[in-house]
Amino acid sequence: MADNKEIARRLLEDPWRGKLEDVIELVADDYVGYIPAVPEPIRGKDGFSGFVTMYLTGFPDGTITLDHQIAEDDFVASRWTGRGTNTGELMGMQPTGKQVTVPGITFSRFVDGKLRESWVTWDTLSMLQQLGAVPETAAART
Amino acid sequence: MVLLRLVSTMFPQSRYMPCPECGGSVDRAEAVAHECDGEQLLDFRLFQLRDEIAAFDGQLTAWLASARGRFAAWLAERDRRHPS
Repeated sequence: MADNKEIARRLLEDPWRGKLEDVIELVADDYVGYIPAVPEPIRGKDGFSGFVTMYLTGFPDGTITLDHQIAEDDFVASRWTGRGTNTGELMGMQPTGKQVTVPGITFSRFVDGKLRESWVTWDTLSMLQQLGAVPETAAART
Repeated sequence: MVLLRLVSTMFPQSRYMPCPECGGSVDRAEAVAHECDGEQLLDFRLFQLRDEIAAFDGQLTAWLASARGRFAAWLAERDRRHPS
């Protein structure tokens, strides 16, 4: 379990330290990633790499910081915080230059030391509000 | 009897929002105490002007190639060599 926690940490943090090529081998060839913000699951090394690269493009100085982990059997739950400055195009939106801070959780399953499946959620609404793509909401009376 | 009840419903709000002046990520709880970092402020403003900055070089080059621009450059060089 300790190895799986370290692998999960490396897959979360290291791509944002310029080490995506170093850690991609920790992703299984038949990896499947389930992400609510994405219509279809991402698959394999290319899917993992493409997804990370999309956000690296939007936030070139971005970092993911691991806040806490819990592991049991083949599963690791990781709570993390993403930070970055939006100086690149993201999801069709022109860069804003704004900094964002976004919390998230990744639930990972490992087989033979490689990431086989993951379920990733983060506060997408908050991210879009910080970027100004979605208006801030206010208290309502009913 | 009509029972009037005021219900305040809070919709989700991001804990962090970028400062409108410097673009830095600020925790709402610390928003009042936030002071813009000078370098962050400059970077943010320069980023907002990136298109104008990129266009400036082209505009300057075009102006320097114009009659007025060439004359201004000639005049500046003359004054540099023979300061009054």
